[in-house]
Amino acid sequence: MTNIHKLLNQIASAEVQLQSTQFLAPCVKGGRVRTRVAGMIYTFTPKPRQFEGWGIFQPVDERTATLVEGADLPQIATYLQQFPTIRLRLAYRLQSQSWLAYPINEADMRQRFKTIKPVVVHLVTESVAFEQILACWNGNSCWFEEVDRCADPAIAETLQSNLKQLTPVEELQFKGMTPEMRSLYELAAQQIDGFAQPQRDEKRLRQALKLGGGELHQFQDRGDYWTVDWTTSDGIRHTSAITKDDLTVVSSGICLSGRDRDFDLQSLVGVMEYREW
Amino acid sequence: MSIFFHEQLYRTNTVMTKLKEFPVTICGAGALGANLAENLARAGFGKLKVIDRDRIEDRNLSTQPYYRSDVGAFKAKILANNLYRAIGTKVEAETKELTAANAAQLLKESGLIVDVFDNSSSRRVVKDYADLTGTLCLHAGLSANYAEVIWNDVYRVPCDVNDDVCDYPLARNLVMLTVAVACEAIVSFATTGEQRHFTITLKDLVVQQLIL
Repeated sequence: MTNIHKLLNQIASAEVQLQSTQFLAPCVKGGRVRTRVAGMIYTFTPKPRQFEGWGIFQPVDERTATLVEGADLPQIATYLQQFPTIRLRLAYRLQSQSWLAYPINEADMRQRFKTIKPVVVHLVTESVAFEQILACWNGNSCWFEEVDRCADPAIAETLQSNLKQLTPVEELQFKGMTPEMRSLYELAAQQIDGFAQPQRDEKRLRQALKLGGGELHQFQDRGDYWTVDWTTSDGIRHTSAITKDDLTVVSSGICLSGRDRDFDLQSLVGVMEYREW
Repeated sequence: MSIFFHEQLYRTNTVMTKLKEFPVTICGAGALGANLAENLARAGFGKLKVIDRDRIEDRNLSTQPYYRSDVGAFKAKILANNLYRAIGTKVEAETKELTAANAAQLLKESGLIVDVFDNSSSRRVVKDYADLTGTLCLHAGLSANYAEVIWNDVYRVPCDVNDDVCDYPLARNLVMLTVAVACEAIVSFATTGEQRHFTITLKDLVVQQLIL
């Protein structure tokens, strides 16, 4: 049986040694740094308090560790090599150098980490939204390692471009797209103004009318259809009832001899302008 | 098998061991310096230091081995990181301006200094330090379609008329040719002690040993 006094002495001795030992640790802005001695975790407040990045720290007392210098890449790489690497795509910046990311392969994440969920990645120093990265999971937090050079940069650009154009999640489609990319896109889209349902509805109606040559004024939600107030290019105003799912005409506002449903909002503009069907 | 496999077959194991231990300080991480650092590292030089205070700009991307995402970052730092990631060589990066006041501190452990700065005042600092301490120094420079690789004893610092000009014409092929010639001059010196000078003209596509 282990002698408890001997064990305590060992820990005490390791603690004393810690005061004179520098350690490498990652630090988020306003966060704390940790190191492990004799199997026990020690947590310090960094000095300066607002330091963010990878640093070499020197404990000054039980609670504080001073930043000696920033760590260089080989030191950081040696630290990160101890932990499993995971491939992720960045969704959006949460704050400072912390981003929300999503795994590029859900099955891989489930096998290795027993869960599938968005992950917060810290100290992301060189990246943009939707870029594929390598990150390390130390059992507690996920740390940015580098941009994944194996990844196709066109995918990130395509996702960025779709987000900029407010492409609805369900309409997102491009060659090479995976279910994980759709989940990632949905995460990012939730953060963007214009992705709210009423704005998307308005965009859809406005676009359909514009393609036909008309202009949207306003619309009201009537359950499974909208009443749409719009004008033709000659300035004449119309009010039409339009189904939500495929924008077909429920009621055009003029007599179409019962053929309203043969048209959709876009083609209705021409019908109204020329009264030909 | 080493990552320097082909170089090793060409140079021999003895030469590769020399290169690995030969300390080179590259002054400048621009068109010549950044490509030279990459060439030397990939040729097997294991003790490299790069000094450059500049940050990467988008107009650098045609002649220097940086990425769009690197724009705004320190050249020396990115260069060191890239080479570590690429081949595991630890390059020492110094992002300070080299001056007469700090030259002794920044250049003290150099077995060879390579001056590839883009301005005459910094070149003057390197030349003066090399003259004063007797440290071996190679200067490489470009002008329009001409380049030269000259050892310190016969090198003359150019006049400052072209200093601080950022929109000069520069062909990547001339850069890469000069880098290859400078790199070979360094390897040749590290292995035989011979100091060879070179001139390069791009329009004639000529590389000549300069007999002085």
